[in-house]
Amino acid sequence: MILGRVVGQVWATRKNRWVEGKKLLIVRPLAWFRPDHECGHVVAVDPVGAEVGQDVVVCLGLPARRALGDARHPVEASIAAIVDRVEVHADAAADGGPRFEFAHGSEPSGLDVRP
Amino acid sequence: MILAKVVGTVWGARQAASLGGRRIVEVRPVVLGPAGPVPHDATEDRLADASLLAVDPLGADEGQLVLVAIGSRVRDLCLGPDVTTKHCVIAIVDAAEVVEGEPA
Amino acid sequence: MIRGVVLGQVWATKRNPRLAGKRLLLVAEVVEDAAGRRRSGRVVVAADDLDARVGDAVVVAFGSGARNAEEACSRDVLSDAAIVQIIDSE
Repeated sequence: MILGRVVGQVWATRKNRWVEGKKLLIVRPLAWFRPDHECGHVVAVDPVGAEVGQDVVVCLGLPARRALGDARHPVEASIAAIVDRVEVHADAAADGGPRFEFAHGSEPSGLDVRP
Repeated sequence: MILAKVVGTVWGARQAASLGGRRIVEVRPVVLGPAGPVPHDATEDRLADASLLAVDPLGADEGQLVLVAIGSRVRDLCLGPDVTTKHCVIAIVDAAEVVEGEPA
Repeated sequence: MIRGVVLGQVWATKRNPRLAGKRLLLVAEVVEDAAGRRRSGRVVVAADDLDARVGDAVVVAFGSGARNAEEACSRDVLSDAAIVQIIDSE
């Protein structure tokens, strides 16, 4: 699963019948995420009721299909949860590497950085 | 899934039997850019550098925005398990709007 | 599977019922190359049933592999990533 921010929505009339009536949201990953192609977004089906501006957990692959109630949906991303708070211990990775930080503008809502 | 723009159709008389004569389109993923509707006439700066080829069962036209789903399971579900692709057009986009743009 | 380090936790009240009660941890991938071990920059959210703590080195499984971590990720659980081992030493 990945953390992402809902930044927009997609409307389509002509689509695979399994996607009929489904809300499609554009999600910008908040931490580095590499789909097949580097385009900075993923479109996810939303069974949870997320809104633009909210931060979400996006589930990928088969579980994403199951979340829609039937594994035959031909999609590979769906919203699993709406994030309230993220707690990060900046020095958690005591491996001598750089401190972990979300990129500017990509800090999740309710981010709580503990020393 | 990703948002992408159809930039062309790939034609070829000699095609693997497993493709079953299906139409193949070349698409370029849309990069998010600033807030506002994703323009249907998205130009270079709104498209990712690398294009990819997807099977298109819906008949999207060149220039249209589409949703491309990625993966072997999606392929199984949309097209059948024998088709040799991992990318499939699952919707032709009427409108897409980015409400919150890229951080500065 | 990837090797990772637990960075923190994610709280979400409104979630798919099939994710109910699951603890969600934020895990940074750790890769190893000629220069040594480092964080790759990739960060994933993984379900956790092993009570991993912040700073723990862990193994995260994805997809059907994660599903086989019965507790965290059985077929009924909506999760594509699960912590399947806490690394003590290697």
